[in-house]
Amino acid sequence: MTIDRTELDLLRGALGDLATAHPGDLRDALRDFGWQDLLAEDPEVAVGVLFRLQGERLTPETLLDEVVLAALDPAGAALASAVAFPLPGQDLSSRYDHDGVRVDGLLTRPVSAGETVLVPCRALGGAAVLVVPVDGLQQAPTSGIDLDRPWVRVSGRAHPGGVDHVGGSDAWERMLAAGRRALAAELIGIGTRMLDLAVEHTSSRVQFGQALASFQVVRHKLADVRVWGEVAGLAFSAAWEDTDPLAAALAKSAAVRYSSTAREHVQQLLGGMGFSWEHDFHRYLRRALVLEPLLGGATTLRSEIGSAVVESGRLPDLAAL
Amino acid sequence: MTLMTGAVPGTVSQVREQFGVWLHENEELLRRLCAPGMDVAATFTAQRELQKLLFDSGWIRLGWPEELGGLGGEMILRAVVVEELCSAGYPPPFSFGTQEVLGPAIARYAPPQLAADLLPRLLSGQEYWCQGFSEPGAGSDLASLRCKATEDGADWVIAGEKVWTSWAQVADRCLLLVRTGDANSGSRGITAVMMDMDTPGIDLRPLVSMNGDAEFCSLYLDDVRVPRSRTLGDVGGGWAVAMTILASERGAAAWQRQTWMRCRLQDLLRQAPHLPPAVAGEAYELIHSLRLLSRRTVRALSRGEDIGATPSFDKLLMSTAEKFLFAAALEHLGPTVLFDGDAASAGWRNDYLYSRASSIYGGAAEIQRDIVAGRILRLPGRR
Repeated sequence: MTIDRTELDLLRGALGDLATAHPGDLRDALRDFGWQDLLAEDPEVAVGVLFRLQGERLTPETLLDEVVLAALDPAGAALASAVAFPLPGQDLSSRYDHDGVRVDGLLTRPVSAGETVLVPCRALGGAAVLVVPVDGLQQAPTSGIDLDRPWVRVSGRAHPGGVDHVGGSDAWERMLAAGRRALAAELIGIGTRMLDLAVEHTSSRVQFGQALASFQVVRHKLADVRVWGEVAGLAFSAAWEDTDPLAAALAKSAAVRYSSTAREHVQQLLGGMGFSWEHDFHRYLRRALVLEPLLGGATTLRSEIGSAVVESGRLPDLAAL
Repeated sequence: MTLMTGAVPGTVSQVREQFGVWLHENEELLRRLCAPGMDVAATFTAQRELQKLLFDSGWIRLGWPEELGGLGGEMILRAVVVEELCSAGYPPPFSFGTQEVLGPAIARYAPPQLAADLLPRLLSGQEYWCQGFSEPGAGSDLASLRCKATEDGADWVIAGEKVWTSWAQVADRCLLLVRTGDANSGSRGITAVMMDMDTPGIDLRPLVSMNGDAEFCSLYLDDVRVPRSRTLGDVGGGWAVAMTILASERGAAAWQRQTWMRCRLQDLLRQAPHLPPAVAGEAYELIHSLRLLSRRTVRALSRGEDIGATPSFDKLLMSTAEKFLFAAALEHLGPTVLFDGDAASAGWRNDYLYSRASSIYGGAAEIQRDIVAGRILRLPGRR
């Protein structure tokens, strides 16, 4: 399916209106809208438009679970209602071995009693993807750095007899790639909004008789942020043309570079205003600090990309002419 | 295998496949022409031969109009040729860059007869050309150049100084920017001309750069007469010619640079087994970023679309990737690369030193950031 620019703008507008009208129940509204069908038909558009919007609007809800579940299986949503993501900064923090199943992960929202969660685990000989009833697990709402999304720490033991093994390393690799592409789009949305804040502020605020944005040192910092935004946008698109999971890792890595450069420079250029509680900047900063390490931060991703390149002995032919 | 007019591969994948066969058939010859460690004179002789070989067999005539000695088709077909050449282990010679940087401007701005006469000479390796842009007082502020051209009958009489002209000592012609307007005419008073390097009045002095190469030259022009029929574009329209050249340099030539950086990263992975994976990954990521940007530019140029200010992104990534790659090489190859006289070590040292110029030549990184800030972010200027 190809979608033209007008249709894309219409979709952006429609999802934007939906996010405005449903600040507390966006997932339900998107289900009624048919976003899941779009995800099946044209995942690049579905993920690109929605997750950029999630980043720009700092939506409390995210459809990251839906994207990752769909990558396991087109009917993945029927297997579980949520994903226990590996803790940010850690590779597969849940374990499945001769001691049984030990869950230690992060949920994007509280999961109701009686439901099941999908738990990617480190297992003997690789990864295992398990369906685990949530009832035996502890859910601890977080009150950490991201104020606007109800992240939940989930932990506990599950009896191996009570879980379903629904996938191995290959399945997890697909899920990871899908999650990284979605997070890349969300970080691009965050980076773009931060850059907009800085452009607005430095263009309107006058010091020494000049708009701040007329000073070269300011212009160059904003230009640097913009460069990485351009790269991140292209890397996101390229992650759909190659099935190699490396393309998804490269997209996330580029998006992390964009958002982290934006955090650094935009904070500085907003001056005292950006340090105030009242200004929106810190909310973007806080969300970025959670999403950047989720499913692999800069160092993890680069190590992974480097190891893949070294092991294969040749550079992958991604992004062919 | 020789390409003929009328039987030219039309798609990227056809070129890739057929050129692969040609590469295989000509392996022995290519190995000799691309052998490492040649001195400057031998390098230029070999690259002329390589140009001729690829011209005669048709591969680098792809994407140039038939009336200018090309075989027609889209320019992207040539980008494939360079990429395949490089991944087969034959790094693109300097002249490949020159044909991409200067060729499109000649095709577009030279009077048709002149273009038809000159362009095949460049492409076939019969001639090598240089460019006379920068001056001692006009580097980043190129529009302030002062090298003066005065009309005298059918000629321009040119007096002034140019600097940082690459390989002028072996060049047959020079694409020169001169001031034809008054001293304060800025970018509106500049004209582009094609000057033969054997014209009387040109004094040339090499300027040895920090890697030890005498690549760059200073040109002293003392009433050099250039026929006005050698004017490219309009009188006073040289800025447009210069912008076309800079866009080609930041765009299409960056694609070549990227294919070369991929080869060098591959070399580094082989020669530095202890390269930390995160460093290898970041080098790959940066080169891949340049590849994505430059692929977009090549595609747009190939379709004849306007690329606006986006090549500034390409140029910024080109220097970022190149500096990162060679800094990583120097740090992780061990003491050999610092002290030993073997060709591989000397190559890494040279590439590291040369990479330091990548954020300076072809429009300094500061100029690219100015362009992004002004033309893309549209930030307000000074009052």
